[in-house]
Amino acid sequence: MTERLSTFLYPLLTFSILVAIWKMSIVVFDVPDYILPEPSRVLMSLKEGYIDGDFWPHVTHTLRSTIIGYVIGCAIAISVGTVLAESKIFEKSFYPFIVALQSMPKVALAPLIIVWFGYGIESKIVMVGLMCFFPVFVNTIVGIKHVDQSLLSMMKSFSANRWLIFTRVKLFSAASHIFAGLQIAVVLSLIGAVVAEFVASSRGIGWLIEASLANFNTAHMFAALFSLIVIGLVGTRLIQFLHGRFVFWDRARANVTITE
Amino acid sequence: MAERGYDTVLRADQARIHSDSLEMPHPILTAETLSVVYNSSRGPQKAVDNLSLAIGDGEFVSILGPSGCGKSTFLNVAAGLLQPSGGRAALSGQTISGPRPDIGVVFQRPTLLPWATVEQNVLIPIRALRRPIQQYRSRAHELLEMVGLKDHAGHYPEELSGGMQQRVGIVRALIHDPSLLLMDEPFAALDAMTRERMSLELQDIWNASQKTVLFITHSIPEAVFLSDRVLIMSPSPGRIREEIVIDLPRPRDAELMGSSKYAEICGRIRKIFSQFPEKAQ
Repeated sequence: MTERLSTFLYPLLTFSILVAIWKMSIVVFDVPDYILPEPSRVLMSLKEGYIDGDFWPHVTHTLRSTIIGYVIGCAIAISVGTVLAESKIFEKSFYPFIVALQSMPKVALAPLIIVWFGYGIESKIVMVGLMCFFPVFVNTIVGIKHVDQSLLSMMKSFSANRWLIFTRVKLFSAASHIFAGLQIAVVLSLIGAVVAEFVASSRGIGWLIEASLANFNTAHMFAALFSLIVIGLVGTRLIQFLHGRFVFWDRARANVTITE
Repeated sequence: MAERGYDTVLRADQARIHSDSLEMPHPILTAETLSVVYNSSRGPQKAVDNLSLAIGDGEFVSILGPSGCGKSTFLNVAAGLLQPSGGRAALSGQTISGPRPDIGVVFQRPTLLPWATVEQNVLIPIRALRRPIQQYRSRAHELLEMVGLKDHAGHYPEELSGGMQQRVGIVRALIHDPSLLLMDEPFAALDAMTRERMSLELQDIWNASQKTVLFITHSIPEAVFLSDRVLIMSPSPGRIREEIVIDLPRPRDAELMGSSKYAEICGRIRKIFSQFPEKAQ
């Protein structure tokens, strides 16, 4: 009980202190509003945004492109990763190029993607998918390759064919790694969506931040940033929950994060 | 080479035993001048050299040897997981060239799928052989009952103890009713107490199922307790050095382990091992 309480109470306390410092420093150093807004002004912006409803179309727009891009990107990553992990020829032919592409900062592709896919939601989906692809792809390959060799010998000794070994052993044994990749992809997908909206958009949370720059409405920016934090947190938590649920046999590893 | 000569004499000796039809039931597993060479960083290494043996139908035979003597390598050949470099292993006269449905393997570790229930694990060979699952479900439950795991069919491996997991491994190897059971140090990872109990249980299973068993171990007492014959293997290169017929009466029980006859056989085998040069790493 006290353990549970403290997990809520301590972060809340830290947050209160941070807000107090924030408020104090504005008063003490006389910081102008356009550089650092008062906490209450940010709260007002959030109220205007969510209760009066100005933010909703932007939030739903960003959520839509993020979720669609995430699902497509991750699905492709898992499929391609699987094929590459299972086929030596495919791996040898494509892996060097994929590694080369991986070492490039994907956000640099944003303008090109706008040129190819236009100003609409399509370019945002592509950008998000591209951001999600790599961590999931790499973790899929690593997961499938790290399968316990003694389990493979066991399956082979009972005359199991490749398909049975893949569906009953490799896929399950890779699941923990794949989920770790999916978790990283949540945050990366948001980066992708916001960057794409920065470059060319008339909607979305990224656009909201960009538009706030025009009239130095930093309170608005803060409100938009908080929205991104909440989306990122909820998304990450959701994946963690699914990870624990799905990979029930491996609770100890359910919280691992393997970076790209 | 003197050693070579000794070996040849021994093989001739073995051949004589094997040709004796009164002693030897119809052979089911045979190996003829089998050798396995693998490439290591120090060049080609002979894991198994010129190994010949025959195991009769319904026999319980142990291969006993120190680690690295090639006994597990031979088991992998017999299981069809490894191709020999020379000679052949055969089951009922047919060369073993790959995994076969009439062989069941029990591994050193239980190697159960952690994401599958006990029942699903046990039925893996049935799935692999594309036989109808439904028809084998009752057999799975019977076998689980035999090893005292009737109530654990729906459990996951992590909920079972090491001994229970290995029992599931044994049931899995029996589910498709193979004629030959290959056991690769199946109790090596268990504690001494569990190990002894598992030996007794295995004897019961063997009695009940009438399978031929090839049992790999590096435990002298275990080999003597369980086997009809013990084949002693020595390393670098892996060869069978001696064959000991264990003529202890059956069924054997825990009391037997305290008998002088049992101790005498164990002592004889220990003496043979002490004559082998220690293997340099």
